[in-house]
Amino acid sequence: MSADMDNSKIIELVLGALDGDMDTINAIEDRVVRSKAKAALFKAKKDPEGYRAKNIVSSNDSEPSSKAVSNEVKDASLINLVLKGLDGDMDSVNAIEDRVFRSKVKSALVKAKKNPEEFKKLNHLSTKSVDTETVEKTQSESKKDSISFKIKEMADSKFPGSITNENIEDFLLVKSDLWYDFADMLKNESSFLFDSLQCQTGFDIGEDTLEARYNLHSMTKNHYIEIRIQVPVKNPQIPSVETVWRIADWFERETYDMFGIEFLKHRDLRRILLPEDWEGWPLRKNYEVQETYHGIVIPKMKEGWE
Amino acid sequence: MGVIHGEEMVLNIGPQHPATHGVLRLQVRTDGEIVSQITPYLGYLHRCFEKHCENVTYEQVIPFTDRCDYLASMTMNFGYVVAMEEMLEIKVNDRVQHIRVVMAELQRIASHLLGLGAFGLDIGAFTPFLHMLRDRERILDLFEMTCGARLLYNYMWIGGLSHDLPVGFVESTYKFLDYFEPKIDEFVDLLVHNKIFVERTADIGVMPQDVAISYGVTGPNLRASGLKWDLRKDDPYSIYNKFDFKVPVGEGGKGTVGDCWDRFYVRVLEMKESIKIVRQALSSMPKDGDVHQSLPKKIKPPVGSIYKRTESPRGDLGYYIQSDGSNIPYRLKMRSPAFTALSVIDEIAAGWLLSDVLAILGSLDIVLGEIDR
Amino acid sequence: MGLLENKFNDNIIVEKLDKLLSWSRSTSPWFFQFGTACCAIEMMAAAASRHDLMRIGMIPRSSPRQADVMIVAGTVTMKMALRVKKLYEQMADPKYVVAMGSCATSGGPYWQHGYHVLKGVDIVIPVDVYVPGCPPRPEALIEGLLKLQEQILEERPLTRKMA
Repeated sequence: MSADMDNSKIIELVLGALDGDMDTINAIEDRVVRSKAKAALFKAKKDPEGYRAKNIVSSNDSEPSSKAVSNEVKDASLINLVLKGLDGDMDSVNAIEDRVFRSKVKSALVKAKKNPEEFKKLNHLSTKSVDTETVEKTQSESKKDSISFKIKEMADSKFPGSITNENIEDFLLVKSDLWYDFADMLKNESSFLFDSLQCQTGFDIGEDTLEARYNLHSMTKNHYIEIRIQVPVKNPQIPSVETVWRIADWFERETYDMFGIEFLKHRDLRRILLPEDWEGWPLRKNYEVQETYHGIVIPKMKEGWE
Repeated sequence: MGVIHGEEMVLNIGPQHPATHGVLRLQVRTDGEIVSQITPYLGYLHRCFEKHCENVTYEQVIPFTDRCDYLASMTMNFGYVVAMEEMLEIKVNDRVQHIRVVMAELQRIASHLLGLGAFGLDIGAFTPFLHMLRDRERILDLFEMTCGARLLYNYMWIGGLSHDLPVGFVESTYKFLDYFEPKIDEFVDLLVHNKIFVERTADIGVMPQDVAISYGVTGPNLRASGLKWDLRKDDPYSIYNKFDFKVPVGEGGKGTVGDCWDRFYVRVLEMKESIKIVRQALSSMPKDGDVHQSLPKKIKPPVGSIYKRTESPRGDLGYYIQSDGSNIPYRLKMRSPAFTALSVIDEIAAGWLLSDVLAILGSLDIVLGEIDR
Repeated sequence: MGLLENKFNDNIIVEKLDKLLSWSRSTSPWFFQFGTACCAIEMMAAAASRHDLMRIGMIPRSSPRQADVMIVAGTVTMKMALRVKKLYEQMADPKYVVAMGSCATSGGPYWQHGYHVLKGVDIVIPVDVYVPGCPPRPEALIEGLLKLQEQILEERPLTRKMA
């Protein structure tokens, strides 16, 4: 399909020109393509980051995405827009300024509409494997890539087998029994120096698994990382890191209160927000609230007016 | 002569006490008048915010975020909306960005006014409290002119705002800023350099920097300990990188760096910087632009998660949002700055007198609605 | 007034004394500031200089033993409900309760999925006046308190009540 080849070539040229390379565009002999590329470049210059985010396939893949109009395309934002269009939201598709990308999305949508369930299944990303973090791919993203690679290198040498996920761009999935030493390494190693635990939460991701997520940040070196630890519902135990980061004391008590994840070697693990004699773990998906508490009825009583 | 043996006394402060911080219970073990250990008990205002967020749509979460930190609801909305717009890749126009910055900075001034007034009230100074509330009422008048509410606004929506600025807002704000700037100097005269106030707050409750970072303390409490960390400059969101303002850092003006007086003074200086930002934002605000332009018809973010931090008057406010592709959040966690600020109280208040404990608690500027969610 | 309450038959002296007593009770009810959440800020704003509560005779007291009216401002949770009851019992007779805000009236915006929220403070203590709003403006709170004062004015503490 020569129109698609042209479109993808134009995208390539515009991306190159945004980085400063005008020579390739000026060297094109075909006047139509050259003028199209210049028009697209003029539009893209208004919002270079947005254009890059929409059109970068991946930083490793340098081939033109001419075969992009098919279900195997890995461009996350294109898939998202097509999914939106399948659900009925055409506004975001129509709001795309770049004509090339918009036409790509619309043609993908036409194809997807022929068999919407299969498209959704093929492209529905589960939360376990690949996370589509929709942060723009700017300098900090590439820095984050390198920090997670560095961590994986050091972890593989010191604690082999500790990181258990393939795509380490957005988060690292660490084994729960090695977590305490891993955390020690993250805090004290001179190239990482993660001295501040920003946020620690629990998740109930279904299929009888609970997850604890840690967002770490380094004040001195200004980089971020996210760590996830998965435990089964029958025996949710994670080593506590309250001696590494002192705020983990209260964060872990809150996660215990809401989800029931036990933190081993925590010096005082008890409920922090709910009363001591409350039953159940509220934020789990299968939580049923108790009927009374000390004689007071909990659910709202509806009498006549409802 | 033998030594008189005393026993430890266990004293209960709260959950209902006349300070404005809310329902907090502190169990204090004292040896006479000197405190040896403090244990805070929370949960008296746990309103199941996170469970509600798992059952309502993304737009309906915004009024719930208002009610968490009720003294600074604009900034709570702002943090959530910034996180959602990054997740949905929505870009709002310039006018909306400028109005958001103006509202957030006015809210910062209002929140600091109440926090400082309440701190003075805890120490025993009743007059500055009334002065602060009088000035805060004028800011609430401005907010009421715009969106109709005095305390809980539901103003910032995903992709825009709920109402545009009314006619006469810009002039009224300029008038208010001209009226308010000399009031800060009057306040500084009245309280900040007052000998009694200095005696009660200088050198009390010193928080060293490494303790602050390990306990996750952020915002003015961390800046008072000497570390220059402000998310508006170090990790800018919205259009904060266009404005010129300083970040005040505690320097131990009347005692050691990181004591109560520093935490107090940093907030006073921050109010002055906020006035500068509001003036710059008002002068560079574009006159035309529709605030409802980028409101999405349906909010169905892609599957994934995002963690985004913004600067609220109390510190780093973080939202961790996990979506599963539908129009209801799968999980939403709010990382509240006051939660981490309260956790440090055992470390810094042990060893002081009982009345100093209340001064330290007041200087941390906590709001229980945010801690308990 | 415990011994003399509801003891006397209705005659001119008792009636005039009654009116004097209820007038004096209604024009200076001191309130017990029991603020839990956002409504507490509006209660403080009502007591501050712009909308002055002291001009209708109300002074904030921090101890329940010195107060006549308890303004329950804000959400009451299960953990707090037991303490609310205790505080109410510590107040001396005659005592009145004002439920301020929609959380104290009926659970507020947290009525549907709030497992820890008490759906209305009238489950644990008897309430005299309900002030709706989320949060109610200080003017609305003042109107509620004036209604309470009207209610107190109509009481007849000394007269024997007919069945």
